[in-house]
Amino acid sequence: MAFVSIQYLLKKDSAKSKAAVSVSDLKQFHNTSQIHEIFVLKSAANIQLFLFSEHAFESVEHISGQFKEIFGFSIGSAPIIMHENEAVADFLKKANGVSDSDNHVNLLKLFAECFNLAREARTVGPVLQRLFQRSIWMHEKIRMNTGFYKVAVSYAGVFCELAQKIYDSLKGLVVHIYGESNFNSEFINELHRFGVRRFYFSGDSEALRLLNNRVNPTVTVSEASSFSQETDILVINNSFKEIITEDLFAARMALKNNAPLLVLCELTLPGKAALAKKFYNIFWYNLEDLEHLVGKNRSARKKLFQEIEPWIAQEVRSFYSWLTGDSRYRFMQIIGRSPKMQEIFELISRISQTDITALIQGESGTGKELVARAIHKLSNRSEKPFIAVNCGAIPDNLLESELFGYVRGAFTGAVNHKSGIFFEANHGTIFLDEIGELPQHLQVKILRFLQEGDIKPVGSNETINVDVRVIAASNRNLKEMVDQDAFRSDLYYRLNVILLDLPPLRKRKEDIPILAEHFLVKYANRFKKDVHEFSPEAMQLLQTYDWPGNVRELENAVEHAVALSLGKHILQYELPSITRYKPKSYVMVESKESSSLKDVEKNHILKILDATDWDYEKACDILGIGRTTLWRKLKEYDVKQP
Amino acid sequence: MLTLIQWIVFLVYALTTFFYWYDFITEKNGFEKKGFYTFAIAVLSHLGLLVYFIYDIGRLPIATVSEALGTFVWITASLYFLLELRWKERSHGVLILSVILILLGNSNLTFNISTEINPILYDVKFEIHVFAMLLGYSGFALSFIASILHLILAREIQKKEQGLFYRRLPSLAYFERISAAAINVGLLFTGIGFVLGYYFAAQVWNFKIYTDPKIIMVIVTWLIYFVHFIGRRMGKIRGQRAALISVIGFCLILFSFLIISTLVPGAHQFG
Repeated sequence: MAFVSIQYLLKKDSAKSKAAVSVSDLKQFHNTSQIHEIFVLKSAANIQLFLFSEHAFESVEHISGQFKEIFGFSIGSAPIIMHENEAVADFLKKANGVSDSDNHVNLLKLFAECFNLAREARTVGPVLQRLFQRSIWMHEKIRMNTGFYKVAVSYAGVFCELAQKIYDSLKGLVVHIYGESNFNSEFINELHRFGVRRFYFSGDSEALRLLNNRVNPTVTVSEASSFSQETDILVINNSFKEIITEDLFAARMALKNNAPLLVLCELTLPGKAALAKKFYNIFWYNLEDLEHLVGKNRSARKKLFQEIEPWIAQEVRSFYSWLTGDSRYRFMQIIGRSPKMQEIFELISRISQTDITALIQGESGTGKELVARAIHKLSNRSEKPFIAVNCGAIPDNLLESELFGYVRGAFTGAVNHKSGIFFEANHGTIFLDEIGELPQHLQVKILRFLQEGDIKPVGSNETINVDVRVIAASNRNLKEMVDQDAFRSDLYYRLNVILLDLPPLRKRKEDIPILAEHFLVKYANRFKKDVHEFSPEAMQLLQTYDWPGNVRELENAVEHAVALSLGKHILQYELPSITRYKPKSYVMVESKESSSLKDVEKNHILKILDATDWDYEKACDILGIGRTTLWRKLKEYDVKQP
Repeated sequence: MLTLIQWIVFLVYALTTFFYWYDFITEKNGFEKKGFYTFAIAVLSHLGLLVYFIYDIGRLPIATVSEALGTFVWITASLYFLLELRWKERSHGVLILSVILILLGNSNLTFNISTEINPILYDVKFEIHVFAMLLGYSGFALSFIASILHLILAREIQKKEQGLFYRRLPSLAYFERISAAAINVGLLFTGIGFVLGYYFAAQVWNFKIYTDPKIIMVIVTWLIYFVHFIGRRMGKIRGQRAALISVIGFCLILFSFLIISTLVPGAHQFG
């Protein structure tokens, strides 16, 4: 097993270096290099490869050569190569923007963009996926627990912060920019982001072009000598220093009733600064002062970084223990290597730290409660209670008092006060399974809780405010229920802030072997049996069966088989008889001796299409034919997607 | 008994002040609950103390400087507490609570129940007069704190030494807004209080305004704040200049409240 990162510096003048990495190049590189997982991170000046292989790399130089040949970037100097822990730590640091050099927001965005590309090219697998998921999770953790991302380290960021300290909100302010500067575009971007929409400026064509590209600023080009007296923020670059005069300030202060004026001057001009001092509400800054501030913020960030560094080290350690352990395809007790499950894992990492409401939808037995538990475990509420309620299992008339509690005398037999599940789950998470079974009047109450955050026990006139995160789940399609008026649409939209759609097992057949092996070990230990593996025929059977009961059914089947097993292998006939029936899939005709070659071909194509969920590209990969051929054959057999 | 409750209330305020400073210096983000709860307890227990006083003694605790100071502290604390609820901005807390703590300590130390209280002070009319004055002064006090913070922040911005206050405080515009609103409230209530007081006093004593140094001081400070108000309206007095005037005004109030009342004899000597 090996994890390597190779970082190249790109030559700035090369046209190729500006272009994005293409999916086809990535695919080609993946095929020729025979590396299991590849992630390419490309920014304007850098390109970095993160490579994971199950075996040790023969030669990094060789891979580097292949990379250069396929991608054709003109590379500046010798690459920086990092191995194992160092490379993993580098990935985490870069993804979270905890290095000093770059702005964090863009970097995580860049990671996400490059990752989508790699997913499209199918060059990333569970290892890099996990690293990316953990990065996102860490990013949220840093954001929620430290002020790290709030510390501005760019000139423009620091300047806007300064302006905010003076004006509070920058909305509605008027900015006047004089002259050309390298910083203009940075300032304009940042000021626009903070809500400034009125720009005046004199003498810079590049800045004008940039402004005109913006959605809705009012841009006025004024003569070099004129000065907008409404100006709140004045940016003066070198060539225009002559415009600063006492009269100018006097006119401005008189017109705007001495409202504060923030001046940023590119050069240090002591004479002009003294001029500004004559007026009491003028704040005078030079670029040099901003530089000082940036330096200060940098060191503040470094201090915060020392707080974060141990987290990263910890994350690297846990990543390695995961990588070398047998839990590679596990995410908080959930097992899955299929891309769909990896996406679910990513979504869980993304949403767990916030208190957002989530709706989990999936067939029975797909692991909805496990997902809810994972969200809870990864959240800041993990120390607090997690309570699961199956709304379908409790009789309607009891459900309300179960959920919200009741006060003494609320109904016959209510001799004591009882606090409901919502109250007991305070500060924790409540998992409402089978939410579709909830009677209408309780749907209203849940909706009220989601909107106001308070509950009303049965028979009580007073509401109690509780802080509970709600995760709901349903095995029925709630959207359809809404359409049929069986479920309140307002509650549906309130719950469906984030939808986690768990795929049924038949749509992620690549997960069956690892799931089956996991259950095999579990039950072999429980029954104290020396069963090691499935016979190839048994495994084949497991993979062809449709699993209408999903993972739960698979678990029961394996339990059954382990209990019956006599030897070290699980044989075909030891599995429950139901799995030995013919699969209830699109393909109904097994190849018989009497069937013609065409029939066999047609059936095989259909089988593959069925298995790949009618993804033509994947099917072509498996069948080893081109898309045109596939299309021709489908037409020939008159087959259409069901 | 009363003294014991007074010091308990003082301790709760002290604890609140400690939490506020702790959060301020460690740069905790957001609306920290610990300080908020102890602050609520402090304001409520102080209210309890005032009610107990009224029940026990049979009049409002405003007869002596010490009593009036205690009541003034409670009004200021409650006003600020409401302000904090409304704006969710706690950075003033450190200064306001510190000032409150000093004033309350002062009040507790000089507290003694005088038996020879002028019967005038049991009259509701005079109680309204004093209460309105105290409410007005609380407004000036809030403006004073906001102005001090304004000056500190403006200084840090101008000197380009962005330190702890720069990071922790909201904006200059925010302080300007708060200070102006507080002064408007202050002007209104001290105006009402002054007119009522003058009207009632004229019924009871035959006296001339200029013989009472405290009344003269009140007029002077009221005029200062009025200049502040007009200057703001005309756009002449803003920013640091406005903040400075507010600070001067409040210093004069403290001077008249604490020094003149106790040292110079006049109509406001009841004890």
